[in-house]
Amino acid sequence: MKKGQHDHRREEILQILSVRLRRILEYADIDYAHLQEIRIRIGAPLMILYRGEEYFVTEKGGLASHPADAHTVTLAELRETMEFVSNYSLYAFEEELRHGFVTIQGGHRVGVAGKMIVERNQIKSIRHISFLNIRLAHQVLGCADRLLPYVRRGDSLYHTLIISPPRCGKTTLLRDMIRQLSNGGNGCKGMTVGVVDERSELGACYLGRPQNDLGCRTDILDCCPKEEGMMMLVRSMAPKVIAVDEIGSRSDVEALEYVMNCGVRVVATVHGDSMEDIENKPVMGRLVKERIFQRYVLLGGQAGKIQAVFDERGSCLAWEKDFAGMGGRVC
Amino acid sequence: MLKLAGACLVIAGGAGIGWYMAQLYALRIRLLRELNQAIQLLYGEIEYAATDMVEILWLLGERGEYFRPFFGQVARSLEERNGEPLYHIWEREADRLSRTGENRLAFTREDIRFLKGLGKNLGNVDRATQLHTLGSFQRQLEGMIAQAEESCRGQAKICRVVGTVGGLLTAVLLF
Repeated sequence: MKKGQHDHRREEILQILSVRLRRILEYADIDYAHLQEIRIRIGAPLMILYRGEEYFVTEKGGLASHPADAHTVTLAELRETMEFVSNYSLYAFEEELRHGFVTIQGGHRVGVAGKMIVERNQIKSIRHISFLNIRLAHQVLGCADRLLPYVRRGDSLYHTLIISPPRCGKTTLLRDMIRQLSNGGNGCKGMTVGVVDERSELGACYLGRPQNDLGCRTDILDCCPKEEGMMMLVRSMAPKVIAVDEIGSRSDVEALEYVMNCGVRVVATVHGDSMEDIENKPVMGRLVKERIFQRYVLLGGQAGKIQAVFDERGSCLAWEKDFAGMGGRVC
Repeated sequence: MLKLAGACLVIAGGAGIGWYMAQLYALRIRLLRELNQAIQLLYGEIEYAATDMVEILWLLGERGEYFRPFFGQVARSLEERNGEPLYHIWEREADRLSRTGENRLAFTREDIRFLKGLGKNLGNVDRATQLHTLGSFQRQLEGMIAQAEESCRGQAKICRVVGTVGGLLTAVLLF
């Protein structure tokens, strides 16, 4: 990350923190490109996830391994932080808060927890927010470079399913695939891509504008349920490719089949740790048996590592070693 | 002749002070009415569009007359994002507004307390609570306006009479 970008990212993060927390993290000698999470809990030590390791942050910004050395977050600090996160407009984020997170400028995501107000088995709102998890946006441009030759078919695309356990980089990989498919390049034409971003993770839209680069031919339905979103995109935006993250329910799959029947190519992700795991799932298993998807990309082992690429019959097209370099990691 | 002219000036001065004092009562009513309109706009923008607070404040700054510098400055300070909570900025600007020009004389302590209280309750709660709070501020303000209008009718007249009579009396005593 260039110095300018680094400073900008640092500024984006610091400006949503309370004055006290801001000072503490200003003192901290950290590279913001590698800062992953900031954990703020009332009455608990200030914590960060940095370069994959968890640290407690001391009053003077030092990184400690013992909670007793850390700065203890107060109610006022958390409230103040929440005021800045919501841009002094907590009422405007009611819908997002019901889903448990707010996306802020830069595409960073602030997860919230506290007392949930439930009415007729539906979450109505959240009160007494006491826990925040600031997850910094993580875009790895070019991480899909080595994968694309296996999923592209001339100027089109195979229906592709990315299978991955949580935190193994499936969203990051999908994001870069969308960007590259949309922009085109390497002798391939760009394609119109429609993205249904139910959890606002792919585009990380802030005030309707994507904070991540998803390419110049990409249309995003932000915070939209996948099922309705896919249908809407087909009807309204005429995409060549539709991308969705974390499919799994019966209605998602029905919508997927609908858009495939409309001639739209699909790239999607699903939670799972092997092909067998997906085959054994009742809803997804049928898609595998009926060979609906033509390419399966299996991630796992460690974050960003592609283990294999399979075709619709389950034949392996590429192994881990084919994605060598960076220890086989792509993102 | 000179004495007569001097007496006339003294009487006119006294009456002028009376009229000016009466105008301050009227100004207070105009200030409170504008604040009431601002709360109505806040209510509407939050209820129907969930507009960002900074955006609403800019809007209020553009539309306002007496409160234009107040809302504009609060919005500007919020945009700077220097870590100052909304309430601190609001309170500071409310103090500044109440010390500016004629406002210093028109605003009562109760008005300033009300304005500061409004800022304390903005932006930090969910929509239903926010609207409920604004609703109760609006009802309170309407009460204050009605009271101000009531007292204006009596007080303004008194001011004018006392000013004129005071001028007359001074003229008689002097000349």
